[in-house]
Amino acid sequence: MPASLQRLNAAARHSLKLAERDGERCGGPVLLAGLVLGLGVVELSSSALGQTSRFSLELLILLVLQLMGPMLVTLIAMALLLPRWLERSADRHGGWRESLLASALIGTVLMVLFLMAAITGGVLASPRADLVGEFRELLSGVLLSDLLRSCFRAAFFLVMLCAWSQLRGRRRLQRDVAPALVSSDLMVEGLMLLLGLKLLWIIAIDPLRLTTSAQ
Amino acid sequence: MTRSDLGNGRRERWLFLGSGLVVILAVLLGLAREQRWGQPMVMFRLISSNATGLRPGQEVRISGLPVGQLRSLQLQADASVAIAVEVAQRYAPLIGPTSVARQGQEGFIGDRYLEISPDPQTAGKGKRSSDQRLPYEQPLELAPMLQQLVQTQKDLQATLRNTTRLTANDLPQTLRDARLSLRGIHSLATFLQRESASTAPDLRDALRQISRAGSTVEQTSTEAQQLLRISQPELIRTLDDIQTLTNTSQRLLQNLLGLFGPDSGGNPTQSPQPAAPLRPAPGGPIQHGLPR
Repeated sequence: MPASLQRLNAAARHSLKLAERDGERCGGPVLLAGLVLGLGVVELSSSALGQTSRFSLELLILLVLQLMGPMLVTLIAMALLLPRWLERSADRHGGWRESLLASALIGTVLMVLFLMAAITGGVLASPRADLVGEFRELLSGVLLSDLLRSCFRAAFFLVMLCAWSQLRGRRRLQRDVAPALVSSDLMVEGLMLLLGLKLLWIIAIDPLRLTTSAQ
Repeated sequence: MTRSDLGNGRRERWLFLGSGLVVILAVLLGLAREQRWGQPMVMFRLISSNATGLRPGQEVRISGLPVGQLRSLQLQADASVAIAVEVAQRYAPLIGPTSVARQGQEGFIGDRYLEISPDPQTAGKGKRSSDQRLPYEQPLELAPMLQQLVQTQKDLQATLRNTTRLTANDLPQTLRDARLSLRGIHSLATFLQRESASTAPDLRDALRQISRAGSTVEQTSTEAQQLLRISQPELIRTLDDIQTLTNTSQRLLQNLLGLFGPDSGGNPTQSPQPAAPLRPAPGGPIQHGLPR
């Protein structure tokens, strides 16, 4: 096996390990956030706003896939992984590049987990008794292209935040700024960057569509 | 966590990536199952003037069972809406020329779906083209119906008001008249009852007397018939005698006329016609042959 392939293989394995360890850190909070969001949105929509359970669940999918899913997942992941990114940014062996690949993988998987947790929470909160039937009906309304677009957006956002945080963090750490302060500043910068990316995305790249399915 | 940390010999559990992979596979399988990926589908196109209640992903049903999905809605240049509907190829022969698509709903607040009326076609009835048109029946619009309902309610209220007014004026008078008529009928009936009670014995006696008289008349008639039957031969004989006497008297008169001469009156050339003999008609009344 050529040396370049061996390096690539080692980088991939390293990225997978990073993704696994970072993902384990983010998985629980993201699942919990999805469950809470699903329960809250459906409960609010069906009881307080008096909407039907089907409408509430469609609203939930719309919110998760099109509006706030990728952003919320990215925000949670950033908050949890920022210390690790800072740590890796100082790595002289090029660990930050593998961190980018791992972030893309983590963003994709976390988005799917978040969606499933939100749907589960929503179905549990809906007043209908046939939970499995409702779950199946919801799945029939979700298009793969929407799901892939959301996963790609989450991965893209997380990669951009990871790159920004590592780049800025390395420079700040090289100036001997306290890591706690760097972490705090990067959190705010990351949030601003995330909101900017989201705005750019919905204005220029993929405008919002108010359906749960493709036109 | 740096590269050196990762190489510290800790064995990975692959919990996150493993479970993520399982969830992704489950979602993909669920989507494939529910959205019928890989199933050959036939596309149908509907044209509607209003797409209210329709949305992509909506279920398409035939005879109440799901057979496909509404794929897309597209606004046309003439403001109509082109609706693309996918139906599984194995159910496509159930759709024929008389099939009509219309909106349906489960209950009053249930999910909406697109219902296609079945028109089963035979297997070898021509190849189905990939893009076919289906007539679409607009759902009942609620606003005009409510307006009509309001108008009907107004008409009904006016009718009820008129009816109330009519009954308030005329009905008491009618009831009063009816009550008076009933009272008159009652008094008449009482009078008739009283009269019939008083005349009934006399009437009964009269009827008994009439019956008795009838019996007497019948008896008298029988006796008269018997008498007539007994006296009939005697009477015939008497009549024959009278005829004989008459003939004899006539001959005597002619002789007397011949004796006193022709100038004394009468016409000797005219001979008197003999009288017809008296014979009773068989079974009939007695006839006599005397000239009238």
